[in-house]
Amino acid sequence: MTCFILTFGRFGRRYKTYMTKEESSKVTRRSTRSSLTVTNPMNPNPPLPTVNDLTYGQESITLDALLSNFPGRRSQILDLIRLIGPLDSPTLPIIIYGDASAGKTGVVLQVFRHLNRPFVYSTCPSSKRCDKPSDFVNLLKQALRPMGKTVGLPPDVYYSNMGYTDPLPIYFPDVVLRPFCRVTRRVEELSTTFSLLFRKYCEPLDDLGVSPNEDLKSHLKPHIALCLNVVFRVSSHSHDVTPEARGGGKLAIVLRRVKSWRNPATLDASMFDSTGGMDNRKRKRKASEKSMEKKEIAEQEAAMKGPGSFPLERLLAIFQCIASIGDSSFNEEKKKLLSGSCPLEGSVRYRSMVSEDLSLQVARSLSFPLSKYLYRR
Amino acid sequence: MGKENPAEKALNLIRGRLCDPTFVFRPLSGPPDSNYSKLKFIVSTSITEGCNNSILLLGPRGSGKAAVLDLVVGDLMEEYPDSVTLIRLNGLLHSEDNCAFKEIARQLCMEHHLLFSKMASFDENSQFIIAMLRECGLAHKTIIFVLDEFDMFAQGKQRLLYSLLDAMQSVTSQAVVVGISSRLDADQLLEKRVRSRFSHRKILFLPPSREEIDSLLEHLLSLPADSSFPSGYVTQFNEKIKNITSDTRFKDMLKTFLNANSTVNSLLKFIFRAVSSMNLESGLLSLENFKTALSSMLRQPKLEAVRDCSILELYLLVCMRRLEVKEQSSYNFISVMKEYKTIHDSFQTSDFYAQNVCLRAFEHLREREVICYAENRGQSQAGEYRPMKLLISASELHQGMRSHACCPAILLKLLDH
Repeated sequence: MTCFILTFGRFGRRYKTYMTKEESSKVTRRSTRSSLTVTNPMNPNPPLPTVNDLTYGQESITLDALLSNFPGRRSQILDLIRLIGPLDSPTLPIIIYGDASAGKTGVVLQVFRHLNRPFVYSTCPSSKRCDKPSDFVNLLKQALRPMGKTVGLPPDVYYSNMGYTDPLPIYFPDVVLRPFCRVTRRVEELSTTFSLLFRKYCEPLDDLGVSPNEDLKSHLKPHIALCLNVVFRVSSHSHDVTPEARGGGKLAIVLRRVKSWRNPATLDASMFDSTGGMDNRKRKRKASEKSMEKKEIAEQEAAMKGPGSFPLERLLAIFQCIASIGDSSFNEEKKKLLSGSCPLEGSVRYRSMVSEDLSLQVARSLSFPLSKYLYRR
Repeated sequence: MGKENPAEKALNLIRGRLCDPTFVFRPLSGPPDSNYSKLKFIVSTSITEGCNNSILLLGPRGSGKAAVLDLVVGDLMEEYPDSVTLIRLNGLLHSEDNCAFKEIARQLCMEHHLLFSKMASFDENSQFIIAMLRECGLAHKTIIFVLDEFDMFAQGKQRLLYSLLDAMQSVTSQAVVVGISSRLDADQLLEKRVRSRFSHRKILFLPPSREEIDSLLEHLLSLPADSSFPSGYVTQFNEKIKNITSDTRFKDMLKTFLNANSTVNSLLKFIFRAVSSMNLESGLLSLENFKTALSSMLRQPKLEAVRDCSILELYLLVCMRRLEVKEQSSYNFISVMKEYKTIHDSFQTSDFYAQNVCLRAFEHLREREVICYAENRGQSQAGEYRPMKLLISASELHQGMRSHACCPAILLKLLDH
């Protein structure tokens, strides 16, 4: 009995489908995992791979070793072994589902190592989505082909798959300790936290007189909260960029925000003339209740739409109004924090990627009255 | 093999039975008005009388249409050897006309030991098929065309169907076209000219009745009293099965399961799961096995997704729900963060994390498909400003949070208000 293990991803969620074929006698020239095949280039007629070549190829591990390798997965491992069943017993297709890095592939491969059964393993690329089952079959063919040009699935394998048999599900829930699951339950992300914490955990041990006990844990507690915020620090783009930017660059950031923040282009002239009188005139109008509601709704809408887009010329025009220097060397810096889109006209428009709070912060550091120039209805 | 544990042998035997559709559906074929008998009658008259016929097998997925057809074909091949040729097509793979004709030609060549050329064109294939139909008709050999997923063949121009049915009418042929579909209105999908050539015979595969299920259970789970098993063990095993099936708790479980999945196939999976967890030391099935099988078969993925969320992710979900309650028609990450901040300010919760951390949590929720972007266009906007929506209902969220391992009480309170 040969088993097929397929892994394929969809939106980062990984499923493993596992099917079996009963006729082991039909194993003709199926190839094995690439790490296991050793073809002798000198030998013109390499021996045909047998069923034994399809096993894991290393020493089998005991059940206890398997269970201890994957803590917290005891029930799923036992479930899987029971469903696969004893040797030469047929089984129905099984689907193992769960979040990314829940240990699905690892567990399945190690289970096969423990059971010492032959299997065929392939992964489907996660970038491809299957809209129709025929696409899936084609992907299957493609995925299995690189494993050896002689992997010929007999047609009845397709029919048994295409019968839409609902596979038996096994769920791999996330298993994480209590305090750490407040932010994320993904093991890979917590590993950064864990490495930091482990170092802190070991600190008192430097003092040779101390032996590991419960006190170490209490030493750890205050650091946990701090470290949880650090969890994603490694991947986000840091805010350290701004203090290092030159003075002019900062001003440019501020200006970008001005434009983006939904300032209608038509009001530019009146807003940025030296008196700035337009704003005062607007504020004198009495706020009735209806207009307050409208204002709220408009604010919400503005929050929903986010910053608008603007062409580069407008940016430079406003820059020239505010600052007496019209230095074109700022252009390169601007490009760093802008995102560009190419609409049909062919002229590139930019949009500010910087958040409102950050731009206000920068404006304050430059003592630039940003709020005066932001359009609020 | 050596001395095998009788329990293991019994396990293997039952598992083998459950995976073999022929075994499962054989007893359902007994009575004279069963689907098996009807189908067999139609096809055998076509063989004996030398006429053409067409028929549709309709029923939900897993109700045994293909299995019964296989039984019929198998029996007929035994009764009339060398008079039956079987051609199988699948709508998922061969719905395109070129592909279908090639496949038919290939299978015909294989059956009659002819050489098949992959380079043959569409016209050559279709001429070959018509010629074969004529030849087989003259030689009184029946060709049975099985079209699985028949509704897929009814898409597009229906060229294959028309050609086949037309050939059957014009040429001296002996062919039966059997369509299998899970769409009960499959025959309504046919074009006028195709429908006029199709006989309106339909066989419906309905969910099994209570009596049928009881007899099926007994048929599947009882061990045979032959010499391969110690006799004491066989009687003990069968006795236990009788006890379990007559237990009211088991009947309730079965009813709950059948309310959700009423087909034979899903019942087989349920039994398979239960049997696989049989205790090999005692060698007997127990009610517990069926209980565990039931809970694993009736899964609730959205509930599991919420139960697996981290606390921060739960906070975000609750914020989104509150925004919905406030009748804000659409919201995005920024508005959710505002709500999150207001909650933190008014309740002084201990879980307040930075924006980038929350963004990552949002991404996790999106990957698990608990939330998604509300529209697909507007891709040029940054992810934080795109409108989002919840993919779970309020009651699912509520239930998930209540069964969550460490959901803070404040969240449940916030959800209610």
